[in-house]
Amino acid sequence: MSAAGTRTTVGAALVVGGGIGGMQAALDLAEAGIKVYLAETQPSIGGVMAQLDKTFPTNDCAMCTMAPRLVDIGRHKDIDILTLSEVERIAGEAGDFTVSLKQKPRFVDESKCTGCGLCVPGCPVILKNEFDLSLSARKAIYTLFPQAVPNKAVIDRREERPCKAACMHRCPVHTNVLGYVKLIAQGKFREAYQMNRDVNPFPSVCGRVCYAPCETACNRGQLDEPVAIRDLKRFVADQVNIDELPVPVIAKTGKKVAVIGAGPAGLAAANDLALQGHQVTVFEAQAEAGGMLRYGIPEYRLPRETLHKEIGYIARLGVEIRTGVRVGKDISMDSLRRDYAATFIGVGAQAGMNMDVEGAGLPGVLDGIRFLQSVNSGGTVQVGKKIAVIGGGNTAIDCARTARRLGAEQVTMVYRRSRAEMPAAKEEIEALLQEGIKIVWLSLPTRFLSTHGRLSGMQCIRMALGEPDASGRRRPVPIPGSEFTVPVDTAILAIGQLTETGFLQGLGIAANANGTLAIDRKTGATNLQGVFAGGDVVTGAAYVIDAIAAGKKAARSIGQYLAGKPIEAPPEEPEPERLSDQEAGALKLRFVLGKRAKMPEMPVAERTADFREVALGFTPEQAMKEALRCLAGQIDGCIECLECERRCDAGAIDFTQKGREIELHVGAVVLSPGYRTYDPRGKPQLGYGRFRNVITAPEFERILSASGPFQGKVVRPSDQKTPRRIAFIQCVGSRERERDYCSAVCCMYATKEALIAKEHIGPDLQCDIFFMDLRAFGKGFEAYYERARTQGVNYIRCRPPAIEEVPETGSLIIQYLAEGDRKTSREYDLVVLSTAMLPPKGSSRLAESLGVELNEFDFCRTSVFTPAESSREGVFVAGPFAEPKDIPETVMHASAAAAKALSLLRDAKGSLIAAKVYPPEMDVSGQSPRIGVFVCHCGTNIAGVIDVAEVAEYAKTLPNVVCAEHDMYACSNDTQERIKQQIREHALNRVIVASCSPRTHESLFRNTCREAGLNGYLFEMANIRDQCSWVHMHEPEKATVKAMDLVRMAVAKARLIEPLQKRKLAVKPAALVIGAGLAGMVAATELAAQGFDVYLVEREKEPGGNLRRVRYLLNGEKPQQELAALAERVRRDSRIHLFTEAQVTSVEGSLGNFKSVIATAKGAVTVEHGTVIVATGAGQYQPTEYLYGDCAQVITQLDLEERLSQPEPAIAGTTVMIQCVGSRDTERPYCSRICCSEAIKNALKIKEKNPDASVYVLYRDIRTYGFREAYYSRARELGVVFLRYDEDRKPQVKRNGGRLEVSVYSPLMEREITIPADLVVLSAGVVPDRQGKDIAQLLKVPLNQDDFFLEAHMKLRPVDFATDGVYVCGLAHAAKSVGESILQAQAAAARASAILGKDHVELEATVSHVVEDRCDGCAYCVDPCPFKAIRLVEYQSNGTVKKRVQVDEAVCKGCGTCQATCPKNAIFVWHFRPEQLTAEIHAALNV
Amino acid sequence: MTETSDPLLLADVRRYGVFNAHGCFACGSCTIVCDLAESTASFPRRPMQSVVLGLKDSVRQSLDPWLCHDCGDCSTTCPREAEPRQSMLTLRRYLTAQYDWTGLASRICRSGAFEMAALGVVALLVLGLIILYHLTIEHLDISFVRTSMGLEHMFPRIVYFTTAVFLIPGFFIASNLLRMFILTMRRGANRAIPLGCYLAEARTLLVNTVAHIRILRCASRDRRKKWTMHWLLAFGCVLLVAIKFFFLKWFQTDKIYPLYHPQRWLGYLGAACLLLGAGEILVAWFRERQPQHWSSRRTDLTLPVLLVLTALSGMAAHVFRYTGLSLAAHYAYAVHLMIAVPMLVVEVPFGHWSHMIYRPMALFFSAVQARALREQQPTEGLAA
Repeated sequence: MSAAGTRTTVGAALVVGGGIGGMQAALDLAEAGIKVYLAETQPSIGGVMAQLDKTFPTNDCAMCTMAPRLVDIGRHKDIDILTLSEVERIAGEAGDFTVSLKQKPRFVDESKCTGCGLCVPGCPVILKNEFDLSLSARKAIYTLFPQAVPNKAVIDRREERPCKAACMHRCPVHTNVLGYVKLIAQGKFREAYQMNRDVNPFPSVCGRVCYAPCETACNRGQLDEPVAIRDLKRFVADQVNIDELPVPVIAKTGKKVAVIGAGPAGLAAANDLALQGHQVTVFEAQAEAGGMLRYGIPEYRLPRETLHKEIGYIARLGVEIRTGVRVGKDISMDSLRRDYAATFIGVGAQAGMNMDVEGAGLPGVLDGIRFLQSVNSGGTVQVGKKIAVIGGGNTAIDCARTARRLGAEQVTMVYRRSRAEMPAAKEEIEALLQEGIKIVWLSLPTRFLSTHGRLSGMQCIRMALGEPDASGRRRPVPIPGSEFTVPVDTAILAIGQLTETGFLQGLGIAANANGTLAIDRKTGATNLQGVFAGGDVVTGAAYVIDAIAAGKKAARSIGQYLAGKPIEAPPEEPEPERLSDQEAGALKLRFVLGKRAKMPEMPVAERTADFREVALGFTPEQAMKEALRCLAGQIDGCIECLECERRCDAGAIDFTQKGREIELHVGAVVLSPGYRTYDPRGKPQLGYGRFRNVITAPEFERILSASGPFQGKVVRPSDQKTPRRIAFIQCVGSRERERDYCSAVCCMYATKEALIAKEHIGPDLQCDIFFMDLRAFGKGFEAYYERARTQGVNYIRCRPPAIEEVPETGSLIIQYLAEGDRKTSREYDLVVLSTAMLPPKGSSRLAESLGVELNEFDFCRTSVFTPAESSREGVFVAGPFAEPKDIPETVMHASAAAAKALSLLRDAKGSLIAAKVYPPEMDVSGQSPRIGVFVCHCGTNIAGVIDVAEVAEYAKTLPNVVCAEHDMYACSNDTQERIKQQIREHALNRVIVASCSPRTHESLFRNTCREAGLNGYLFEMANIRDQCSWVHMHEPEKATVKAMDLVRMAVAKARLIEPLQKRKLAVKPAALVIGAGLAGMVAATELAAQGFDVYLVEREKEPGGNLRRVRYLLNGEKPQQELAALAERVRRDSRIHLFTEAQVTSVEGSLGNFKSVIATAKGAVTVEHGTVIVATGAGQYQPTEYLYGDCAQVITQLDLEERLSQPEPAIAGTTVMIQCVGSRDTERPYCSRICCSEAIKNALKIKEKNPDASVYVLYRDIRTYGFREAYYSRARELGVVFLRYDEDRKPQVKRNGGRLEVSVYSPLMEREITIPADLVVLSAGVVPDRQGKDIAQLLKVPLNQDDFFLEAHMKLRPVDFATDGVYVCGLAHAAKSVGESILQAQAAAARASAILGKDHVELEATVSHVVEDRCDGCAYCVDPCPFKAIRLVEYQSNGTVKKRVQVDEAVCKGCGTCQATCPKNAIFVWHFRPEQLTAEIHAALNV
Repeated sequence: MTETSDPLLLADVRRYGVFNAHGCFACGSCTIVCDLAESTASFPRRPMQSVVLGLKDSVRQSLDPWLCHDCGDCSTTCPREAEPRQSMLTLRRYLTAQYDWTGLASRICRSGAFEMAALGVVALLVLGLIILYHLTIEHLDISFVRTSMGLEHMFPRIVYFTTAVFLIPGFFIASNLLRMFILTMRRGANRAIPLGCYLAEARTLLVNTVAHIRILRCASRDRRKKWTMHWLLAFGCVLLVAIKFFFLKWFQTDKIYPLYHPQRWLGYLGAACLLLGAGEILVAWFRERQPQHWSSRRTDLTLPVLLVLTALSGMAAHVFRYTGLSLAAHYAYAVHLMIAVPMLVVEVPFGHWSHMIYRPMALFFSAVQARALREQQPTEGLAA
């Protein structure tokens, strides 16, 4: 720390990596007053732990454990989360860095997104879900996982869309063409139909008869041919049974709307209005609904059944369709306007235009519209033999083709312009000609001729094309004298349509000259209030899709009108754009060109016999192939169809976002970027990637997870069948020549996965773990391993080199060596590869940009004595980036890094942080209880067993419950917001969450209440996960009933709970550190460096502890120099008060305010301090076996180390080391963790001094985890002999003359081996300190069954005790190495400094309270109090001395023991008062 | 069964070549991939670990290294790159030395230089004999300009020489074989194996000596080619040795035989087999390119090189004789003897060639052991 005083340090830090390590570092720093920027490359923090199912060795749910922490970080006022960000550059020096980060665009505005998730289901792009390791799919817009923090959607947009989406913009109803075509390409036909249906109630109609302006606009048309969009629409409509589509639940508004005319415009309006919740009645004059669709379009183009189904769906939405009712005749317009809040007129253009020529009134001259209507009504229509159809539109063609089907021998069309000007669709003209109908172009009838009063012929005149007219087409001009006559017996006029609006006369609706209604084209409103119109009645005869668009537009306006809002025109859609020639040229090169699919049709010969549909529709293969031609679908990721934007009510979607560069000023950087796993494709013989049932352990973790790809059902990927036999193969990618390190966690996670899989599938599941050395070296690991073995997990000591697949079944065959070297092969349903931990992706780039050194495996280089420091000052490191490690060690490491950063930034603490402000607390006194109940699904954790909806419904029936609901994850940010909103909306004064354990989540929900202005103690929790869904997972009905019981109990109690206030207590800014070994001294110096006083108590004369006996380390470092320097620092630092030959005799008080007595040689000293750190260390086991003590040639590793560090002659002859002496046995069933490395260290030393000496190491498993592995290899290389023995056949040591003889049974060689030895060295285990029990009692903290101190939580709180303000580090916690002790000591210092840096602490309010007038001082409660919080006091009352008890609220933990002992009800615990508990019990018993 | 560990064994074995067993974690990959390894004959892991653990007796008594046919799958599979294939080769050299009572095999197997020196000495000895022959038997009327080389005159003397050249190595190899038998089959439990087992497995001995079918059980992809080449080589050697020993008269003559005579076609056949087999080994060796093992593997090349040279020199003598270049034929004949004789005397009993005896014997013994075990087990089962 150079010249910290002379320059300004910045009170902020950057934490790189949002995994569990980064989160811990961020919290520690922020709690201690440093502003934190937390940079994460993913869209959410959480890291790998978020993907885990359970954690070892406690089998706790990983997500449940970390979710509260995620939320804490998410709403920590001093932590800014920078997602999708990577560090680019760093400049400056320790204390004052300028860091540049690059943030990728999220395309969702974080400030607007509410995390509601409504955008996700609409997204048509289905991609691999990397969070589930590609075992499941996700959308292009997604949240990483349900509890994501920040809970904001993110769009996976990988490149720009190659086309301009002209199709969408051109479509009158703006159908999401890109979206549904993409869905078709992915085989999601039902979803594709739904996407169409969302904007258009007639997809199957439009898929047949639409004039497809989209195809004209399609940008692909500029490359080769447009996509067959309409045919694809028809295809998806054919794929679903519309009658089976579910109807959405719609909230009713109670408003009534009348729609006149059940044509496309009217029905589209009715559909949209019904979806808005209005009660819609449609009046239709004809016998059936459908308008022109029903009566105009012939059946061979639009089968009636299809139409009926789509109209039927509209009816199912609640629309009443009254057919055969003619408005103006059967019902008056006035009565409609009286009875309905709004009216829509969509009567269409039902009358054909007549020709003003001679003979037009003759029988045999028919109106085309009437003709089609009569045919389509099913009436018998007589046509002649020779028929002429006059006109060139679609109606004319319909008439002609219909006439042909009715049996006309000769059908001729007469059109006054040329083919190019014909308004009819090209395909229609084509079909017409195919069916043998002739067209006479450039001709116009001038007279209809008759014979005997019947039509017999037609006189026509030839036309020529003149100048273009208003429509842009060239005007036909008659050629004088070109008349000719055609013999016909029927003529059908199809030259245009007229509207019939006679029934509106007298209302005063403005009309145009041609009889159509005059409306506001943008809104559909007429000049009459509440009357809207659209469709042909407005435009004159037009296309179906235009009528639908008009109906929808009017519905939108009616909605606004009914809501009392001003009617606004919808926003203008952009004009469809065309590709520039350059763009089109580039795309032509990029994509494979090809013709569009051709619609299969009925053979021409069969067509004219009846009215069966001509177009047959695509096959799925044709459709999917055609859909792939869409340019937008050619890219990966988001296709920018904007479906999400349409669905986002918050307007959060923002495609204009660009990547941005962020510049931060920070004083320190903590690197915790995590790790990645080895890709087993590097070992092709294992078949990963070829055999579907060979998976990696992280993949299996996702399969096991309730939130995983199979919802926690353990199945194998190939056929989703439950496996019966699972194999785990260890060390895939590690412990090899290339990566000569151990990944440290795999043995345990494989064990865990095997156990959990057995839990899921049942005890019959066979789990075989193939391993070489089982590395269960951590705290509680050995017991976990033993537990797995007793539960039938089978451990096979072999490393199978290859896996074979049985192709028929997808099962896998593994050959291995069983005991006695017998080659055995076994068949498995699933094989899980325990893949190695590799340095994080881009670690070398990160290291380069930050200027930190990496080691030979590309992990960050650290040293034993500065384990949290990188090679660059001010840049700290945590987690597996420095070495493979598990969660608790990562957490410790992160706290240690935070401690180092805090020392660096001590002068700037608090300079950049903001104070947390809560809203003023509501006064609920006197109010009757208004209870809100929130039932949590916990994904499927709860909802998979319990019917949460039923529980919520039940809660509603309970007295005082005002609202009850069920939510996916009660702990997620959006539900938190929801709870707050409900508190405000319903004026709740009690909140109940029925979810998991109050142990992990109560403080979270209390804080939520607090943020809504409700006292945090007006909250109650029902644990329906642990107590219902987990323990009764096979009895869902009973579990649901029990959940209801628990909710009822919670409600009963909640009625009686009261607001409580926490007391504040000033903090003494000093720490007491017990034990001045390595850990104690490190903790002391760290705290002193941060500016706190430290009382350091050591019972020995000299500080240093066990380290005084360590002469050299595995890597060759000399610890004595470091120890001397450390002791010197301790002695010199004026803030550290060292007491040697001293003991702590009493500790009183609590967090922030302890008072302790230290007994020294000079007498007792009383000190006051805010925290306590326990660093009392551990001892070495004193062996009684192997002739130890009897024979001078039998020594311990420490003795050997002492001897090797002396200059005396090198050790010659044969040395035999025996491992696990005093460890891993029945008396001490834990692994001492360090002995393997110690033995190897000493063996290497022997070999270094005397290469000719022989060293044997007799071991059970060599546990050289992490980078220690390389030393194991080195020892083997130097010829150290490693000989494995079994626990039940331990080695024997015998005297043999002047030498020793060690005999041991080798299970590998299946024989007893005798080794003549000169020296036997025992690797004696680590045993807990004998004074541990006293200290534990003094501090009221627990020990575990092995008598090591028990931390608050194995995974996430490895240095804390459950008692606040007391921390543990070093060997007192568990066996560990020098570097690990230093880490934990630094971590303890970081945790302590967060308390010591505060002015005051808040005390828990749920403490005991004495009802003074009831207490008679019987003192029954005093002795049972486990925390010694109750004292008996005497006082004067009316002249007599009375007794009563007093509670020290700072010490009381609110356990309630006193309450249970008191015969007078004179002492109770707040929030657990007898009447509250009684109410709960009564509710439980239903009395 | 108790065995004392000898801490010096590993160092001793390493003198015979590459032995990287320290890298071995006993994971068993090598044994699993080996198609030749069986539960009764488990290798390479077990012999390797035996060496590491200093189990000298186990190693010396083991037949397993002989059962390996050197395909190399174990080495490509080994995650620790401990090269089991090399270790098996080294162990075969070590065992060859163990069987030999003279100590020569040990020197030859450990040192290429010593091997060369031994070959050189014998070659010089042969040269000396040839010179001596010319000096003492000069009165014979030999004119090298004529077609006659005087081979027939030489015959009575050369027949003793040839007999000695074949019988001396025969003696050594037979005595070493006996030692092998005692070491591997007359120790421990094997002592009790009844004669019947040996007789019952006689077929194994025959088949393996004649057909080498074990190579075909190897997992390596080119096993058929490998087997063909090895068999041709062995056949060529045996054929040539046999005809030279039993029909020396055919060759020790100045007579020109017609093509159908066995002297011609049998000789050609033998030479062709020899060249093909040995040539293949050499080509494969150069293709393999494992520079890190060249020093170790180079000694394995001595035998194929000598075989090729023997064949070439013999062919040269033959061609010169048939083309009438008598002097050249004479010199070629001398060179041929200087190559072939050292090869037979040095390589057959002490060098790499000894495996032609040890390997089929080991296979035979191993089969006998397995049979004995099989016959033992049912009775044990009944007793239990």
